Amino acid sequence: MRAVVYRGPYDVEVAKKKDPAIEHPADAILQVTRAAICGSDLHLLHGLVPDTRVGSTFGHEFTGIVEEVGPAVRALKKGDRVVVPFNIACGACFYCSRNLTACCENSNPNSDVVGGCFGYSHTTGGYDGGQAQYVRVPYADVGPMKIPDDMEDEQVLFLSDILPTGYQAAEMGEIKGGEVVVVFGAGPVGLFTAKSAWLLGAGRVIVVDHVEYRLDFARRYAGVETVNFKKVDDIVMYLKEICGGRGPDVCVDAVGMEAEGSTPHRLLGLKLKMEAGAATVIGWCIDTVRKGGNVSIIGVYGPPWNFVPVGTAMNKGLTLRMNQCNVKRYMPHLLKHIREGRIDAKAIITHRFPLRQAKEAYRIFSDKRDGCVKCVLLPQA
Amino acid sequence: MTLQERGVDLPPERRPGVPMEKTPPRPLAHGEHSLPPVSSSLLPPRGVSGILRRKAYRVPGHRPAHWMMLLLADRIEVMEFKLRRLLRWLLLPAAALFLLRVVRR
Repeated sequence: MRAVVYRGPYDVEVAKKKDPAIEHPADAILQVTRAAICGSDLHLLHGLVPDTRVGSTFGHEFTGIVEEVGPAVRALKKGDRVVVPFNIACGACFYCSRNLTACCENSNPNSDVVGGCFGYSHTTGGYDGGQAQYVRVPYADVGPMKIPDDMEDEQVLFLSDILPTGYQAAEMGEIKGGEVVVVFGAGPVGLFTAKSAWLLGAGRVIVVDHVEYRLDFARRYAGVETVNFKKVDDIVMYLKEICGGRGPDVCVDAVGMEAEGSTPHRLLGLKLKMEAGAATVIGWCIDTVRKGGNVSIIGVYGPPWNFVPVGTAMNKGLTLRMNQCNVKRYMPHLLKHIREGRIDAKAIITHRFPLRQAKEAYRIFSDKRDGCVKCVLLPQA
Repeated sequence: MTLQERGVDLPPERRPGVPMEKTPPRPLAHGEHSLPPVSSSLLPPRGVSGILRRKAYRVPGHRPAHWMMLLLADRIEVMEFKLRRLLRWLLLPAAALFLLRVVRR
């Protein structure tokens, strides 16, 4: 088969690779029909995630058609169309049975930090991802959700990650009705966080970024106010000022480890590797949110540590919530929102490429060129 | 989304992640029995980077040394890969040259 293959930092190519095979009785093999490039794939591409091995295939947002199932698989059969959560989860361990599938203890037995994920380095289990013609899906009875016959793959593709991730980010903000919510990051996750904040009852939603076309998109797509942090003197003071002096009730970090906006963080985190990426946005969230407010962190950070103002968080009495998204528990609920027209997830796709042009797709997405919000690869084209 | 639809998920019981942990615990599949752990057999450690990776996994994840060794191994592996690719490229013309000489003799 052909697959996107990692060759080193800033270097991927499309190459021939051995077809995946059933390795465990509960595995399935999918023929991939759509595979998106996620903002967090860029952290892998940029060499920031430990144990990203040369030869690995990225891609944790995909849909596909079941090609083959292992002898223990009951819920799927050949020909089923499915969308697959990025978490690999056994469905029965201590965590899965509490619906914390991101923390599954059977899908990444080498680690007690994180469960298994598709295409996200050997730190999360070393499974190949879906940016390929075929992919192996472990625990196939647990994660994959059948796509309703009347729906297209692209309508539900983002149930695999960014839509539930955005929803969970807003949900962790513990919105009770009427709150002011600031979302840092106008990328795909930030957009879905903003949409979800409205669904959860926010009174005002403000999205912060520095990429003007993405802020335009956020205004149109999510009906939010926007702020370009490069156009104000001090983003923390500015946000406090426009939020009645105290600051917003909820701040969400939908950016993660490659944030712009702080030279010291970029130097220490991205150049010198003295912290796990630039934790600029966590600092902004803690400094901006009102006392007693909530900070929700959904942006990805690597181990082992980051420089964040914990003392300020403690003194302000903040609640900090964070987790990889437990995708499975959100799928049916968000499918309903898509079906009933409250969320048009497909509308954020700005670019589609055949798999053979994946290198170009990564370049455009990474450089934020050509008005790119979301890239989708077509592995069978 | 219409203005009326804003706040449709305001009641906590409509929120899939509230409460965060489902109690009592309930398996998502396979009935009550669990399946054995899964793993990936792809890209096993090899070369100098592989030695370092094996060493790293003997150190627990809460120690920075674990992650530093892995990051170092990542960089070494890229160098190993580039060296292998270079050697492969050099090997082809060398073999062709050798064959040409043999034929000429």
